[in-house]
Amino acid sequence: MEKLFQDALALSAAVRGGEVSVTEVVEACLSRIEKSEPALHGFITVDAEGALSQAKEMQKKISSGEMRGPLAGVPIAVKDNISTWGLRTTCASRMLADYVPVYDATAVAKLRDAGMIVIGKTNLDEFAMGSTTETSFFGVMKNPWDLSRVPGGSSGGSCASVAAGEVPLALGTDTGGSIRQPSAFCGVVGLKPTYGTVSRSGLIAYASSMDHIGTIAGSVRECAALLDVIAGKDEKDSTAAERCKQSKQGNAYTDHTDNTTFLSSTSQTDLQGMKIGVPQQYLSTDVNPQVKDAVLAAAGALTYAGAEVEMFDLPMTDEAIAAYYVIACAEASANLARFDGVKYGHRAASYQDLHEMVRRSRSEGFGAEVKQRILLGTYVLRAGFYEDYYLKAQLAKEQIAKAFAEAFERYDVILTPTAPTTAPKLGESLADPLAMYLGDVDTVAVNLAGLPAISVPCGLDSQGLPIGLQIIGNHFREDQILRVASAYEAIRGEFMSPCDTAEERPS
Amino acid sequence: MREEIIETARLAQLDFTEDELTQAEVQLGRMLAYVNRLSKLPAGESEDAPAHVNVFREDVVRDEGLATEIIAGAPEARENQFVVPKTFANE
Repeated sequence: MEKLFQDALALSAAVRGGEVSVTEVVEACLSRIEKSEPALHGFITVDAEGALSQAKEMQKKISSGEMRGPLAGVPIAVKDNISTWGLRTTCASRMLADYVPVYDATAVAKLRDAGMIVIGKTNLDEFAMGSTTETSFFGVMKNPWDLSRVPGGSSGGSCASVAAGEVPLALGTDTGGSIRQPSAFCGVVGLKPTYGTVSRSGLIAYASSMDHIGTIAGSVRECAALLDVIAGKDEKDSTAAERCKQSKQGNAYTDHTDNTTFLSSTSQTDLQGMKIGVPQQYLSTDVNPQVKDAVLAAAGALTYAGAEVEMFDLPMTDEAIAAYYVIACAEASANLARFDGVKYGHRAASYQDLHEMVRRSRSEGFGAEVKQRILLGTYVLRAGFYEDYYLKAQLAKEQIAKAFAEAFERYDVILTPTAPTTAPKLGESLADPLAMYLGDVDTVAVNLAGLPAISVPCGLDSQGLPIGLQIIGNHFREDQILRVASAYEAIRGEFMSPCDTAEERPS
Repeated sequence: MREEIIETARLAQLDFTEDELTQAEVQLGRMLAYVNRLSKLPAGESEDAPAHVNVFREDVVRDEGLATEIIAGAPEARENQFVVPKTFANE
């Protein structure tokens, strides 16, 4: 069983082959969680009872042959801003501390349809607004590689629980890097698909134009297999597209329906004929030299698999963070206006009238970072400021997308660090929010452009902390980033887990 | 700036304590100073704005049968309805 937990696909095969029962798998998973949670705090809710009853039901379907998908019988953790029917979904906020959804997010319904077991809900920054998972109302969590450090954020709980071996797979969300950056900090693989590949229905909105649901696992293959489960068109989200490859001719896009699985893309590890660009701006002096060296070494390694790698200039990198925070906060101020203490969520105990009830409920329910972002978002949308901030940010967003589009005329994928540093110490980042925002420099442009990207571990720094390699693809070309990521993984070999002893770590 | 923050907080339906206002003044000030780098971009629409396509479906009324469950999640409910304070004053 220990060995099976290292690979979700092997685990499911063992379940389907009758070597182990779903209940045994779920029990093993729960006991791992029980052991690690006191130190880690990756979960807000563990649904032991629900998971065991799901296990029984799935076992019947698997035994009868009705359920035979590649991940059937595998337990999974879901970030606590993704709605789960009958299971508390808090967004790590006091506002939703007791909120129980009456429907499943489309991605969660698809997990269930694939025979997977939702084991619990993972910790995050409140409403996914943060890069450290320190703003959670339910308490700070730790990085399993070094308990004095943050796991990154906002999908810190999902990434750390996979890294610590509590669960084989997890769902996260990514608005400005929230899957990729904690994946880098925790030494796991995290994939943010193209905007539209996975339905956002049931994801509690932060910034709708940049929110994505994505996958987190120990390997690229597992990430791809999980994406196969959750991807697809959805009538509940008009931006969710048919799985397709787009080709551009002039200004028009043509869709080609693509029936190949994401998993099959990972078996193609020959990169002959593939062109990879490394933007100079992402390896500037602000990047930790050890991170830079690891990324350049990874780029070098890909040439052995047959790829052609070259450095290039990617304009508009400097404007990305400013544009991202203006647009994200503007959308957040509108999205979070729904929390008024009427239909769900926190309501203040005392008030004189309707307006005071709304104001008090919101002020008590939201934490400091959420209030600051709503404030910034409301400010940039105000009459008189709108043109200077929001419109300019939209313009920057278009120019960033254009810069990427031009780059993809020359390259199949783009390679960058996932984050300019490795995981910081707990408490370091919140002292200086602007500095924390600037740490998102490698990931936010990808969300502004709606492109798919994956973070793969590419080494450890001198303190033994994981470094992430980001591979960015063109719209709906998840197949290409998965192919390059797999090729890199094959060259790199097995990556350490935080449970390995220091002596076993490579120098 | 403080006046502008107070007005913005009012629009956002948020109460800020004196301490929070002071913090907001510093943080918002720093953010706006940083974001000002966008001001050098030329005004107006970008000529290369991507083509967006509307996605429509039939607007069909469906009873999901969840009304009771939804109302059960409300902070205050009575007779299967949400309870809110009086909306209009008696003046």
